[in-house]
Amino acid sequence: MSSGLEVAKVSKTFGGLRALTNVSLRVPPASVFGLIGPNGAGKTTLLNLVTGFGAPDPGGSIAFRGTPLAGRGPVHAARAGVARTFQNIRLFERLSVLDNVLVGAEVHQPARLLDGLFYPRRARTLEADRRDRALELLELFGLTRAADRPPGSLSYGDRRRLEMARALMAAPRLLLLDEPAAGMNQGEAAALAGRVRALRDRFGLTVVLVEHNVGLVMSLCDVVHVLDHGETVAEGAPADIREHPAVLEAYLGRAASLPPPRPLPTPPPGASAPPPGGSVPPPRVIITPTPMPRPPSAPPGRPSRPPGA
Amino acid sequence: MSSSEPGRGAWAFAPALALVALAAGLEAGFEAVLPYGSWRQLALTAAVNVLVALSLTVVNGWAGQFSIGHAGFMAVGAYGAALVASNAHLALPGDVTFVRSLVVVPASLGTGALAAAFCGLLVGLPSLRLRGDYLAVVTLAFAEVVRLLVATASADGGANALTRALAGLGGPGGYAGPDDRGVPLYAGPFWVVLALGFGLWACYRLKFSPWGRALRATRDDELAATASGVEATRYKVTSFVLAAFGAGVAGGLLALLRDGSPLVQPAQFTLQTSFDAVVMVMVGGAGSVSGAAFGALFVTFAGRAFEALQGTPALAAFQAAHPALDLNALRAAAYALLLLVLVRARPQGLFGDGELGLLPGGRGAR
Repeated sequence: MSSGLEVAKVSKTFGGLRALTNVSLRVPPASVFGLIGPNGAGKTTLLNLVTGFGAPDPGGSIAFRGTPLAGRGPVHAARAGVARTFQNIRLFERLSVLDNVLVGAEVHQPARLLDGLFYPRRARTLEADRRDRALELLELFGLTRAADRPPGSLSYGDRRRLEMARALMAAPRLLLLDEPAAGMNQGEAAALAGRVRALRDRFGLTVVLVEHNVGLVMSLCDVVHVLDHGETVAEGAPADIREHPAVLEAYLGRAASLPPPRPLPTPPPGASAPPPGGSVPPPRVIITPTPMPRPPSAPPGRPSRPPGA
Repeated sequence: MSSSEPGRGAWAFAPALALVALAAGLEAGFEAVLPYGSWRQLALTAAVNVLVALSLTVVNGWAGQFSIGHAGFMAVGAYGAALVASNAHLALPGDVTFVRSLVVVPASLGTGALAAAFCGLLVGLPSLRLRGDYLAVVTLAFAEVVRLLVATASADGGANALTRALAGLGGPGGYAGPDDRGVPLYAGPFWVVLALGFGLWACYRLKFSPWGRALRATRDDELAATASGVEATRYKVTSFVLAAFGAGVAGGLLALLRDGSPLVQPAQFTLQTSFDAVVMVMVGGAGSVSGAAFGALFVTFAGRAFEALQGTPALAAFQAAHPALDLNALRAAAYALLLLVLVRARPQGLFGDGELGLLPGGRGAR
């Protein structure tokens, strides 16, 4: 029994569309796990399945710290210690910023109706503690001054940060971030990376990161898993993944390479010149007309696909 | 600050004592404050309407569900309260006095409200699966079923025990107690003010409580709320039960209202009643407690104001000069126009989700 996240042979079809095909991965505890791939590769679908939104096709299993998650609903996943953010930010628009964060505390002690009416001492101290924690989180994300404002008044980056603060309010053990750096500039993305690293180091938090900002993924992740067309293309350390031919093919098309991530000074041989300023993201989608070649050797630890599957 | 800080020690009960004192004072001196019976009736009706709007706010405002069958829950509360009150009155012969109301009113209102809350559970459970328009249709159907069950039941209708029991509710003519001498009108200003005060306090308190927060989060984004561990279904069903309970109290008060009619009739709980309740909530701003109170007062008094306007000499002369004009129809049109302008100018209602700025927790209109 693993103490991390285990996804085994998960497939998902929506009608005739195969969004995921036999994906297996293992996220060790207290690691940052990158999930990358072109748009439509199935990254968000996988995140949804892990958080209980929809069930994988029969035969697949998902477990976190030994607790099965597949098909048991989002509340079950949240109680198992899984929190997430959304690609298209989902906030409670008519609640204050502080209240948005406070909702995240609901998972461990659901609110009681009568407590709300009569506020016994126990409920009062509980709520006071929560407020303190929520304010701490707002401070961590630089949102203290916006606490009483509606989230609609926040900038795009702040809205992303607020969503992350809400997720952390649940004191999760596994945090799934769906494109947390989208719309952020390099400075903000670097700050985000620092924060994620700090969370992992301080609380032993396991993080799964879906991200298009390659620099962020390469500098932050311990392991990177590449999906394309719902199938695993490669998995390995960031440095290996960057030069993996199948990944380059899937992500950028032939004769191209990933732009150098900021923290790594030397570009890989044969790389095209980095764009001026280095802040222009790589093209998102490059559809390869030919079927994907399998990587010549599967990285260790990944189950090999059965023939004909 | 979004959560109200409860008071401490003995002073925490000061507002409650003040409310009881005010209610008792009104009970004693209501005739002196409002000398005309029609005024007293209007004031009490307005207060009950505020309760109706407050209870509907729980579902339509906080839970984000769209119930358009609130009259059904009011009817259940009204008939339940009328049954208990008139039978209790019959069992303990005597006059309608304040001291007797201390027993009769809590018992009858409680029964009616609990019956309504049970119906709320029955109607709320489909909200597990239905949303939006579909749920609205279910609530509408419920209200009509309740009304028609009572209105169409007749004593010779059948051997069915249920039919006979329903026929005991008087059919379309109305329920007037087991001895047909009218429902005893026990609910004076004391009970109305007390219920209103408690309703306002409870709604205000709940809205900013962790429970209300989670419920409103579900309304804003159910997906994100469940991902945060909020059991959306439980919250939605609870909100239905709570709203039905409040509507049951309001209906029970209507049935027993002093200066009101000693009959409880199905015609009091029509679609119009439900829609009026929805309008009250929408005018004030779905989600706002002060907005619901304002909307209820607006709807109650706007109708009367138009009627009063119709009685002015200028309009009476105008009517005499143009006999072809139907002023009653015009009144309805003017009311509709007023609502349209209001909804157009402020789609979120006057207060939106916020509260009056001067109230603690109020962030003003937004």
